[in-house]
Amino acid sequence: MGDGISRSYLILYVTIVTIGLLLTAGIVYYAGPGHLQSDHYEEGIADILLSGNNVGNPGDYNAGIVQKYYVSKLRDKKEVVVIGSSRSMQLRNSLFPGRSFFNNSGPWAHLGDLFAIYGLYEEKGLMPSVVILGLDPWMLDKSQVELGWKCLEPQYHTMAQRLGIESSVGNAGTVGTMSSTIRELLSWPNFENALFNLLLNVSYFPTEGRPDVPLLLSDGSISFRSEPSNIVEANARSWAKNPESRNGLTGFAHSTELDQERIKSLEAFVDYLHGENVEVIFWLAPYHPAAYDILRHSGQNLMLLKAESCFRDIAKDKDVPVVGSYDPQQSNSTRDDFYDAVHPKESSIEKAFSKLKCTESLQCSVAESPNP
Amino acid sequence: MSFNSYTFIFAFLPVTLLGYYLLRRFGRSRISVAWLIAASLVFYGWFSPIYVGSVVGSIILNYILGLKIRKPVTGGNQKAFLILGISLNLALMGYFKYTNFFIDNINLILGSNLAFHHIILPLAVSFFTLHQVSYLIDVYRSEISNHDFLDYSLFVAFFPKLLAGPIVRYNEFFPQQANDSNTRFDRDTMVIGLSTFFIGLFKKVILAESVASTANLVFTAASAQTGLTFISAWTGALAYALQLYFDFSGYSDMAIGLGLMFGFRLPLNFYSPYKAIDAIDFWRRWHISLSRFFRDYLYIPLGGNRLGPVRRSFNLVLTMLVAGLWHGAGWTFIIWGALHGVYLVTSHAWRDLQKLLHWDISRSSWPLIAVSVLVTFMAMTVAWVFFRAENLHTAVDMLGGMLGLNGVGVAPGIVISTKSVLWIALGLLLCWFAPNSQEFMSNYRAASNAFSDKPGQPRYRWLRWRPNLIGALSIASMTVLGVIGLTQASTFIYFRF
Repeated sequence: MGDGISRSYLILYVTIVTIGLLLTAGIVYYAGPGHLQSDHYEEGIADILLSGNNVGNPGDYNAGIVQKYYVSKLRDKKEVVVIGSSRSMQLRNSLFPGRSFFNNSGPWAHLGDLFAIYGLYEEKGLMPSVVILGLDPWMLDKSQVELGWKCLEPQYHTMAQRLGIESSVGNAGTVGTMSSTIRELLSWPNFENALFNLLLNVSYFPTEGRPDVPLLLSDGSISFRSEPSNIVEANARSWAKNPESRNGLTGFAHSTELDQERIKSLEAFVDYLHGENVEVIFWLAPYHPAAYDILRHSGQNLMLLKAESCFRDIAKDKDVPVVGSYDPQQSNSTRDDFYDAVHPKESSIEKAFSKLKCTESLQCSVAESPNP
Repeated sequence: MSFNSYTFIFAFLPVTLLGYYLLRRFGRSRISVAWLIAASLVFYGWFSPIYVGSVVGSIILNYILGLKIRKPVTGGNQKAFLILGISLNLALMGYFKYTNFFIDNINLILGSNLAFHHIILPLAVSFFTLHQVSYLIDVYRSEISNHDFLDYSLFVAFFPKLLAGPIVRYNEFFPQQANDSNTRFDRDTMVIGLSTFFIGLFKKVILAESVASTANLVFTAASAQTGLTFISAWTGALAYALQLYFDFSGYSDMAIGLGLMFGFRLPLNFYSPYKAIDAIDFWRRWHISLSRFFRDYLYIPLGGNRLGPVRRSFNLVLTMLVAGLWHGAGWTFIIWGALHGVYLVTSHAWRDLQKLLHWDISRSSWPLIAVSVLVTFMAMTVAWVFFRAENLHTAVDMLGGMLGLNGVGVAPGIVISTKSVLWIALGLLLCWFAPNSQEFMSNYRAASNAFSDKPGQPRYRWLRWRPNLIGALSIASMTVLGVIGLTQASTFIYFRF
């Protein structure tokens, strides 16, 4: 057996662990993907988009901050604006030829983010003529956060006040905020990325073309890498089968009912937009057929159907055209029309939007509404 | 809650330790046992509260059967109760694990259309079943004299080993519990336990998780029948071999470390299995407590190697088939078991030949040992393909790729990053050239048993952990990386068995 372990060893161990954690946090803070030390990274991305260029290799940026800078520096009104999650990020300018267009969607947007993004336009006094709201099932799940992008909290609060809805955002308190920041700073993927950034000095670049790298296009939409459809299908199937990733596809890991408060706030938002003479369109992005088939036979099927049916009821009540459906069959989407389980390709989106007819004054309607 | 979660490390573990040692300090050792049982049930219930009842029910039932089997009390009915006990345990596990597999095969053979049952497998059912079966057999063999309900409940439910082992025998566990000096707070034991725990955490959240995505990518592509190429298929297979090793040996280190924090030494479960020179050596090093269970309760009762080489071969193949089926209900697991049976038979034949030629490969020069290690590792990697594949089609596609039937280069649509290749290379270097966690901590015994591949020739003398600056630096680095790795933690692979 070895020597006894002294108290000084324990002190040494605790000291090194503390220094190690602080060092890790420092590296992530300085060079990590969240770019926590300043907004310069995201501001740079917004500047490239405003100059009309695509952004090559945008990395792990904070979508909310990019939108904040983009809208705050915008000079002219956009006629058509898309607000939604990453499932709406493939909606391109080409869907509305001849119209000024921007896609303000970003990963993991929640209902509050949709309101806040519109709040940015209102703050600037550049309200769009048409707002396409990309609606996902998790937006009606009470166990999910109200607002994903914390940087848009002021705009969310302003909009919540205007809509007359109660907001619990910001109620997480200092402990909650600190805990999420600590988790971000002490995260292995962030640390690994930070080291990678430091060593290779990786950064985004402006481009007019479409090089074979991840691209954020000048219209705000995103270009994913396309894989063979049999691999996409196998991936989609395995995501949908795994309970952990399945929860990520739809939300509703713990709920069995839609959140009535969120339904009311969406209704209030639509009323508000109509009151401002803004045309509203609901976009329901389809799921990959293989994933949807598995979801249909899982416990989450009911919530998916309930969410879609709820969005359609609101649309009917408020006279809002609905494009697409979570059900790929209803959206005429096939297995070749997807990047993965949840992100439809442009081909799928074009099929769905071909049913949308807009007049010169941008009054839109859908030729025939799918009825799942 | 899993060992690799914030809730476990920063809330459950400190509270449980504090409660346990406070009760012990004030002389409430029986209450401390009850506290540990309650904490273990909370730990289990965190995953699936509805199955806490099944664990508790199973403990009570087996305890009563154990009392019935005790010889001095019941006279001549012990064997009947033993058979009843084993049958009930196997029936319970069989219902949860094999019902749908059975229905599927009936439908296939008879062309019938029997409906599948919606059965959710209770976590750890395979492990607590084996613990209880071993208890009943040991009671029958009169190897157990203590029959206290609390002691028995703790033996089954003790949370560090509840979900995925190591599989302990009652007589290894109980004496430690009965010996108060063993379970009194001791700084050295606590530090060794904590250090072993963090070595395991590092293995799981950094090493295993870093190769997991490559393994998943390639096996998913194989399931899509993409016609994997040689490089892609081997990259995926190697990644999985490493993922499984670091995942499960990481879990075992964490379990051993946790056990030690409460004053219990659990048996060794891994000892550098990828350094094995043949399949016999591999099974002495891989999932040691399971090998020991099947050896003691199946292989030896079947006759072991006492009835000649033919019967030995039969016993080996049968034991490994049962081991395969124990892991999961599917033809891939049965083939995996059969393959290992064949490997073991071949290894025995190879050793017999060495004996005839008065030659021992383990004592020969390093190039021969290196070739043996490499051949054994490749054979194990091929077998893991069946272990990982969702179905036979996927396994066949992977093996076709590994044989180079679809070309050599990287398959289209499968992007294997430089980072993935570097992680695989690092993993292989660690498996083949670094000391394992028991060797690293060998100045301080963490497990209840020892292992030595070359008795009398201590290895890695200079790399052994000592409580000095270098020792603190090494464990602190793994602690920091382990803690920051919690953000990408997933469940342990063996939890699904």
